[in-house]
Amino acid sequence: MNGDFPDGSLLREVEPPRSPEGSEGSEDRRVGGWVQIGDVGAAAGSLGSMPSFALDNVQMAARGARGFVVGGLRHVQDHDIFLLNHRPTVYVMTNQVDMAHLTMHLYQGRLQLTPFDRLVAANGDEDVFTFARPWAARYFCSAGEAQEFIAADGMNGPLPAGFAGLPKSVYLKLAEAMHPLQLTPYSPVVAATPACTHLVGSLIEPTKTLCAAAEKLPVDIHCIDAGSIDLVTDLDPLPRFIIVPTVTRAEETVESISVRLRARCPKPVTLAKAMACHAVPAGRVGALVFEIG
Amino acid sequence: MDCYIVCNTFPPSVSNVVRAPGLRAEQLAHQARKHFDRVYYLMLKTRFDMLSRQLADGWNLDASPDFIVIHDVFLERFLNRIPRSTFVFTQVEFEPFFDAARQNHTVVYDVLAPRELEFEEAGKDVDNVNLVKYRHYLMSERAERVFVNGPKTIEHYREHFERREQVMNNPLCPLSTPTSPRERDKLLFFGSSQLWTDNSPLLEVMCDFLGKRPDIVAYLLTPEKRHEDPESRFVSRLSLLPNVRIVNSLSYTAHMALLSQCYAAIDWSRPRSERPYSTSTRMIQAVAAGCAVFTNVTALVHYWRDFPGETSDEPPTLEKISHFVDAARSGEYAPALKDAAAWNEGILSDTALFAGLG
Repeated sequence: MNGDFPDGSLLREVEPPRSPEGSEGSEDRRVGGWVQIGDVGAAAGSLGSMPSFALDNVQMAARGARGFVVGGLRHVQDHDIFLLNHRPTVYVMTNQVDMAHLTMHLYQGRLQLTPFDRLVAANGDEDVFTFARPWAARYFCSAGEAQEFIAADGMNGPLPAGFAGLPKSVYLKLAEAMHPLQLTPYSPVVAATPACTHLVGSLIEPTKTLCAAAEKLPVDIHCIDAGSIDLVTDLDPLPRFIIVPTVTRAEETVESISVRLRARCPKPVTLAKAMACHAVPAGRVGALVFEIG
Repeated sequence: MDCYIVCNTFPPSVSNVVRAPGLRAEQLAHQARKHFDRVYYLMLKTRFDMLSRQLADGWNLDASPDFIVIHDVFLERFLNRIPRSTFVFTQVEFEPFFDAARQNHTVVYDVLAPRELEFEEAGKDVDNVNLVKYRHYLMSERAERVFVNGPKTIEHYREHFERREQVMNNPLCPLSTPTSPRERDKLLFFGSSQLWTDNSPLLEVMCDFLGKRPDIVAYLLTPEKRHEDPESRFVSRLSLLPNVRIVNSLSYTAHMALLSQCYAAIDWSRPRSERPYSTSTRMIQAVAAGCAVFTNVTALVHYWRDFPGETSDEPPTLEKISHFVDAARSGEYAPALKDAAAWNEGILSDTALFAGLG
């Protein structure tokens, strides 16, 4: 996967065959850059120029591409959706049907939203999408920010300590480990510290969540990075669960995180689950689930 | 003397997943505290295990000093060991426990809803329905005192109750009071939550109404609907509207917080035989939180002196919904809601219910 080799050293320099629809007007077809799939509508001018492919040619577009800009998600086949998981992706939302399809793919587990993904409203007005789905607001950005995201190869968001430089596949593994937990039998209200904002989709199935800040509701699950445990101020009323995504290592052990959390909570804090999904030289990438009360 | 409220679902102090019997237990405990040295919630271990398995592997429970779990095997020993106390039973399923408790203790039977009607609507076989009827008969005959949720249910059981002196009206009333004033800018409406209820006429009208009125922001609270459910096509239409937020379910605290942001709540189901006796917990909670309500003609019309909203047994129309929503937004039901809050306060502070038992 491209994500596992950020320098792209294993990618083959091949010229993809021309697609009858996507070839028009696309001069730059170098492999290793970002490619556009489908029609991104009004956002096309602001996202920068890149090779474009038709929606029925996703397999071809995926060859050697470093990232995708996808427009018209409603037309993408289910089997093509899996490919989008493996590269940084900007999803351009052209209408509510696109948004409904994104929700459906996330809900059915084909697609994951990770720190390597962003959403852009084609007409520049993201509010029409985010009232009905406030969880998506964490991933929405302006076309200008999306251009910076593309220039940085999808690695420009805030992340907890130790997560910078991890490939997208690690976040997919984290989602595979965390989503089946289904911590609450109801749709939880979720809050996150700034460093965890883009990680929420990997920790909890996002379409089932409510957004504490946007909907002004008391928090059920709080995602806190280990570095912010001593700084977080909105722990009143206490959430039911606290999830700490972390790279456990010698200087930041499960015990040290538990002790710091217990110092912040007036109710009993119990480590309910410790999920490790990936080994790095420094330690193990995963998430700790603490139950409060 | 102590009082034990026998629970079949968790009260809000223990769990964030609260259903009507849990709210009822909390109400009864609140009303009993003035008369007893100590009031406990009591749950049998088999019931506790079954419920906690539903709650994602036993998580989501708070430890509470008032909440006791007794293993079924030790129940008799427990009943013999403790000093004379009062036991309150809400569900007819507890009839064997009820019989054991009444040997040495005072027992109170609390009728929350006509259970046999719910069983009939749910398609249970006739033996089950008859068993529930028989247990209800035994419990209402043998209890020291009977509490009933509203005059409509008393009327339904008139034949059972006419020989009894100690039958007392005790309408379901949540403990929560309206939260601090906050901008109420949302409309809440519901999908059906029971197998035997169908809210599709309401959802169809709401599709048209909210499509034409983008200025109204609305929350739809509905369990997940599968394709074969007649409501699913309207839920799909609603999911494409930018001013509608669809949520499957909420924790108790989040639900109450959402109600405090809403000016109105709408829940309308096709009338069935059980519906007129229903005291919809959703609607009672909404009124307690200060929301005007639109619902069927149910037992709730006997609750408050001035109904804080509208009732209709005819399927809702665009005109009816528009009129109700505009009236609720402009505060037309505020006096009735204030009156209902005072009525609720009166129920919760009623000392006659447990008088003489403590």
